[in-house]
Amino acid sequence: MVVKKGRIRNNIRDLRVAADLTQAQLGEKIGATRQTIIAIEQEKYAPSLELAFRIAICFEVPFEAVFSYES
Amino acid sequence: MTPTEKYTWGSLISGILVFGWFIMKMTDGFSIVAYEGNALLSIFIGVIIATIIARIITASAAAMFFGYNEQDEDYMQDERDLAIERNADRIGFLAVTSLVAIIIMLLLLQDSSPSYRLGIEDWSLRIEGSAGMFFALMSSLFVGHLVRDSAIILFYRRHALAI
Repeated sequence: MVVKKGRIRNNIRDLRVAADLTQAQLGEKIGATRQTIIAIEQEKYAPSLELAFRIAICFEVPFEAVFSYES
Repeated sequence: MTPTEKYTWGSLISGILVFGWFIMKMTDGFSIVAYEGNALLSIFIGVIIATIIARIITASAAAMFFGYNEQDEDYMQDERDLAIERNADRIGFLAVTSLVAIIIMLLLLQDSSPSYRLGIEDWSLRIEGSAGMFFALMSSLFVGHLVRDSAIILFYRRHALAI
């Protein structure tokens, strides 16, 4: 069975701006570099499940409010 | 630019410099110089020492060129850095294994056909004796290292991973 690869979308940028955080500050809170935050926001890097949960916990929102899957 | 990327630039440049020195030392035109055991050991030790010195110099130069950031002191590699390194390691490993496979093929062809010259007249860069094997295998390691470092820089520049 061939499964077409989907795309993981996120709205981290909107949440980060709403929380008045810089990319570096968010990175520090979740244990990632600013470069990684940039890559995630541009959807060029899909974070691990653990980092994804850390992001959601940091913004105090449910996981699905941050990430969505587009098939 | 992360410290990992700066370090990789230094590593790539030092690798090119040491590889260049190694080629100059081991070849005479298109021929491999037929060094004996002790001379080869000296070159091998020379490569290690040259690599250490070149790494120190290029790492300092890279830090000066790309600028020093106070955050660099507390920098910890995160999962993306590790994923990039992991992918680059895989690509570097593929390069080394491919080259070793080519060397094996060349050796087999040379043995099966002593006049084998890669189709080029007067081609003398053959894998013969200890010096030839040493040159071929060391070159494979150098190329693998350069491919790995290049892959790391490429992945960082693209802000993406080829997963």
